[in-house]
Amino acid sequence: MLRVTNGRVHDPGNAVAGEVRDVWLDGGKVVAEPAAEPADVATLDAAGCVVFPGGVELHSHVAGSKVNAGRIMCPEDHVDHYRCRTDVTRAGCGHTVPTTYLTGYEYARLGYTTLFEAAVPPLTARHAHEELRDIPILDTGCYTVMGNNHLVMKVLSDPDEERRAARLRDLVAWLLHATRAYAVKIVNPGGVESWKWHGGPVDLDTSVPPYGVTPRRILTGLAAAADELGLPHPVHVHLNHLGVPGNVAVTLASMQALAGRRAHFTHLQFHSYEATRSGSYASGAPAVAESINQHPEFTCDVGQLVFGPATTMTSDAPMEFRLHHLHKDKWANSDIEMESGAGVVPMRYSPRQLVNAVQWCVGLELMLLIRDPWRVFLTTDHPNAGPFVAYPMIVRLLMDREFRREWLEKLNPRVRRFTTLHELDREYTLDEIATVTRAGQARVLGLADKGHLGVGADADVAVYRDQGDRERMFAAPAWVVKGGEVVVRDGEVVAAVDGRPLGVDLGDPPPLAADLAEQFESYSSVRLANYAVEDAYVPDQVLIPCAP
Amino acid sequence: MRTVTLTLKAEPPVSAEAEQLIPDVVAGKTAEEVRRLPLLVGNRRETVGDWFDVVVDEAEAAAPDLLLRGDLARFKRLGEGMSRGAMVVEGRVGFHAGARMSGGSLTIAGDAGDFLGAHMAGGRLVVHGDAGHYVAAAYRGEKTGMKGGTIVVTGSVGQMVGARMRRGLVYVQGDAGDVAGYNMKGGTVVVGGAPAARVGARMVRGTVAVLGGEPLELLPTFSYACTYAPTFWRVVHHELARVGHAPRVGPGVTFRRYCGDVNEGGRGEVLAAQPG
Repeated sequence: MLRVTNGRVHDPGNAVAGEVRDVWLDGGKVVAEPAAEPADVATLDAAGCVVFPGGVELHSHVAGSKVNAGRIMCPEDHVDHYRCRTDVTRAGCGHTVPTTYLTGYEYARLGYTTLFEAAVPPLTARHAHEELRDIPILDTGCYTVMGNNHLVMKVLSDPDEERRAARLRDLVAWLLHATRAYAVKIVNPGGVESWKWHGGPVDLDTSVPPYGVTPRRILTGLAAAADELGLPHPVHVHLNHLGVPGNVAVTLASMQALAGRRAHFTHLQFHSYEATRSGSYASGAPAVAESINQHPEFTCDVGQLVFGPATTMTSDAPMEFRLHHLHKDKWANSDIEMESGAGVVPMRYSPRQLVNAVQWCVGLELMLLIRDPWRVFLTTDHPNAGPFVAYPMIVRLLMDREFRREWLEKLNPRVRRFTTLHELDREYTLDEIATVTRAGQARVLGLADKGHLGVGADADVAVYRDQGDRERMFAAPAWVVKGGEVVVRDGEVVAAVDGRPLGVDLGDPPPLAADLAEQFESYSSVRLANYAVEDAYVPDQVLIPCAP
Repeated sequence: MRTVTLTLKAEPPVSAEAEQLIPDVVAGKTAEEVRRLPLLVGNRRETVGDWFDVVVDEAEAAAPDLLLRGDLARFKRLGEGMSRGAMVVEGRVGFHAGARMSGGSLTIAGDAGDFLGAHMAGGRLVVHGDAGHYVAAAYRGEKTGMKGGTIVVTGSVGQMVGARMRRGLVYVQGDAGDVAGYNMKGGTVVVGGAPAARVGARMVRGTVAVLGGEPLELLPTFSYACTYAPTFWRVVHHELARVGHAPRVGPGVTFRRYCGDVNEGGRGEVLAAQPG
């Protein structure tokens, strides 16, 4: 048994806001305070500290083929960023795309205990699970990319609405089960497939070959299927026109199309740009934030830009192609058969670059303008907008408006003409930080045992020394506890326990429909029998129940 | 003038990393302090004193600040990052010698390993012997290699000399291996002998001057432009003469000029010195 005592507990999920109280942990769970103090209790004296639930990361790119491509093509990312092995940790390297073990250690060193890989095409799911298993300490899961999947689009092309919905629901269940994934991911719906057919960017009602379905139908169809299956996490949507000036129009139209259904909009910063008269970037954050504020059924994560090196990697292959032509630098591209695409392009964001400065402001504007912290979450879309190790600095930016102003002075001075960040005075509280980094993320993921410290919750706790410099405070937790075991002490990993794979309990989903199975066998490079990820790749997967 | 002299006691059985052995670090230190400097031998942290006899003495004005004696072929990163002073190695050196150096002079009386002067930004690096691959180049994945300074190799070099270099001057008195000047962004590579295949591949800008004469095995993405006596060659010749390595062809020599690589815009040039 472990007791965390004398700390000020910030547990927004249970409406505990900075009260000094003890947290008791036993058997991997938070337990009620025992009537009499047990003999075998170990104590962490958290006097002068704040006690948070373990951090939950709902959108990051840490495992799978595109991440590995990023590692391979960026040796420069490894040279100055490496960690030697210790008695408890393995060696690792990489800054924007760390190796699997280092990914786990670095997340744990920030107080995170749960992690989701945000985009896994079914064909590469086995690889993703292998890497997720390698990531120590954290519980992990992944989302299956479906927004350009031929089987999905074939089903969606059915004119019979009722039959279409039923078949899509069964197909989504089958795909999630086959990939042992946690949620439905949509990336640039229809846009990747259109690009493969030499088509241009798609709008919401553009007909996409070869099945003639529209992004609107893909979005609404998959959102409905996720709702009907009662998946714990709603559709996780990367919208069309990522990174393009003026994309706020398609963002708002997509939100309008999904109104009334649960949906999570990811790295919304990249989708919130107005176009200036010259076609350059201006902030569209106020309009997007207002839309989120008006729709309680929506959540979002921000994808905050971090100045310095980044490695963009996404299933949005046409976006990466465009990015490559912008810089004429390294680019990796992959055509994932009938499922998706993928691209990788290394980047460096600069505060003097006006576009990057606008992007940086847009992310913070979204965080500050969306009023409900339960519906906007802190991410950097790691490693697309920057590496996750920048979280402590972003927390400080949110909590300290003077620090924000200091940074604004370092940006290209023209940025004030195109953004409103300099007008925003809001400062996040510790409770709000706890919400946007763990409680809210756990809730939207449907993880009832995570993101809070109530009795029955997982014994995942992060203890930070309270200090004025929030960046230093959140960069080196005093202790991080995972499953009841202390894994980090004073910002260093002291034990490398195994995390658990997370999945959804879909019961026994129906087999793939005969016509879809025939199509699969006709055109896929693998046989259907070899397609699904076997149990051995996700041993002891924790299945979260669905609520249809 | 104060000189720190390090004499190798015995060759280590595995490679050692000796980035501490630069004038910037040893300046002002006593012999005992120099002996205590860390040295990574294999995966073990040892000290300079474990492998070198260290003497600090007053010497004549022309003596170097740091003098290393012995066969240091297993010592990597010698002179890495140095920014001032004079360093002389009497013997062979391993990989990365003079990498990232930004000033001062490094003289190596022996052969050098790969990545000699990689990412060098300033200063002078002279090798009295041969050098390995990737002289003045960029490390893997990086966009830009050497950004300034002068490298002279009296012998021959391996492949990819000047790969991705941006500025600076590299003079190889002997031959160069394959793909000399790969993806150069600027600067000058002078090859006194003959380069091997694919010289200048993916050149964006910059100059590869070949003094050994034709025939050159040029890529089809290079095209003949003219025969001329470039003014800049006089400047380069003067600079090399100033540091005591005047090329054997004179400052007024004529070159055949080839432009390329057209796949990258065709703004680079390969110059071939004409006899007579």
